[in-house]
Amino acid sequence: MDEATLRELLRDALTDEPPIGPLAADSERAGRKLRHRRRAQAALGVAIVAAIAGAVPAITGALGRSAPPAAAQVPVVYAAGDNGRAGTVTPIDTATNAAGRPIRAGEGLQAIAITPDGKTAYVASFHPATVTPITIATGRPGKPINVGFYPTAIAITPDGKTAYVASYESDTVTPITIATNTAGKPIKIGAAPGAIAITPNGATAYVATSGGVTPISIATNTPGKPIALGRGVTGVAITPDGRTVYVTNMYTGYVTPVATATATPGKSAYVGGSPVAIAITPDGKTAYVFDSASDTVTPISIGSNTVGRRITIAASTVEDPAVREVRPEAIAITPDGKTAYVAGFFSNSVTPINIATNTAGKPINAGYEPSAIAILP
Amino acid sequence: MRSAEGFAEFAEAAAPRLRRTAFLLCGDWHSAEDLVQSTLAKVFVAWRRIQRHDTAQAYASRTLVNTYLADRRLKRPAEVLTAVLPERPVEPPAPETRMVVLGALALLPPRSRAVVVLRYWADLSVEQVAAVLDCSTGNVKSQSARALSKLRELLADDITTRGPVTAPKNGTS
Repeated sequence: MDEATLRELLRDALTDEPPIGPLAADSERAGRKLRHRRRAQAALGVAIVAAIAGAVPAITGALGRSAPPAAAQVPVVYAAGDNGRAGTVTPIDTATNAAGRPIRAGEGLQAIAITPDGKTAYVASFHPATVTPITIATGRPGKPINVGFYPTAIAITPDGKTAYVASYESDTVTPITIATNTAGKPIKIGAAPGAIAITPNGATAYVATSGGVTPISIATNTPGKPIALGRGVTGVAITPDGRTVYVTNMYTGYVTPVATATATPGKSAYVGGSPVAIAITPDGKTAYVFDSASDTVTPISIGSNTVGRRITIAASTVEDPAVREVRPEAIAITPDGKTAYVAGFFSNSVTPINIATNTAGKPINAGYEPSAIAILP
Repeated sequence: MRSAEGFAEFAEAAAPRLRRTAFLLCGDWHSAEDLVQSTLAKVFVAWRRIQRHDTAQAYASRTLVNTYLADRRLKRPAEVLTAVLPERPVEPPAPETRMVVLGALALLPPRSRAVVVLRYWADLSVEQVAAVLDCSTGNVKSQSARALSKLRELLADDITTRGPVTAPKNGTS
């Protein structure tokens, strides 16, 4: 039997097709129900992982004490009743890996970044599309700042003056002046900007878009020539020497180094699955890549680009392997380079990974669907 | 609500084809309809993200196949599996051919069946099938080859040349 015959036979098998009925409308109703179920418990949570062991108990305590009563913290509720809960930011003490009292801020939290002085955390929410500053000392959220639709990532310049917010659905990056908490003119960028990283010298922001990465000059807020890397680019991280941008591709499973000086991609490392997030150790020796399809983290040696053994994090309950979430900030490494923390979206937990041994520790409960992590400097 | 913009049109347009793919995967129209409904419900939830990437169709196929495979892992298959196809009259009318083809498909392992349906009915390329099933192109090629030779055994030569059907060989499952 040849392929043409098989095609014909398969077509023949469909001959008794009954009329279709209101399938599309029923599906939309089922979709609304499914979305409601998924959101019912709470909106996305985000974990702040505190890094300096000594300072942490104080911070955790302060956050816990000063958190205002729940009813007062729910910000403007977006649209109809199926999404009325607030997202949470959970502080975790890195010395004990204990979670503190969650802070409520916005709905559908997706991204978080902390200023270099450690005073303020900026969290992005997608209902409505805003970024909210949270004063770390008091745990109190400030006034939300409007940004482009579906913000997925935030990066703050090393001088602490500007936060850049990538908005996945409006194809823009919005600069926010930290001193005044005001948004500047959105920068038009390629389709679906999902992740953002800034060079250590504060000169350039690299933004992952659906076809590659685009550099933005911080001095002028103008985008440069996009570097094509194919569809599915999701995570970006820059080496501490600022020479290389590592880019993950969630469709191909590859991680590609791009030389910042020449904008040329080097040899890719194959991780497999859906690598969506990446973080580099402060010594610049290893990149840790989070694959959201298998819930594993793979170390890659920088320079040789050799791939190490996969580390499995908290047991996942992914209901549908086809769902590939954009979570560029799902992994972060402590400033001492000893621990990587990974947000397990479907396991509602954060898993620490010991970098010396490349082993995963006990998962820490961290609110509902934690999607991003930032670490106090 | 902005998040649902364009979904109804997409669902309306995509449903018939998805239902046919689902039917070839699961072998009955009722289950096919259920499969498409839960697939489109998942597409609805992810709609905001995928419409930007212009990949709704690919996303829907992938979700359909994964939903089917997950169902197969969780439940006993709805179809009755037999090692031997039922005997056919010497000159079968067209509907019988249909039953024989569905019977043969039901004897393939779920992933092989998905490969056959996606490649030879939905007309996806080897690369596209690999993306749907999250496996290598080599794996798709070898699965296709194995499935084809198994179907060849199951559907004895005479049916493939549209002639009378005889009982297939024993021990082919």
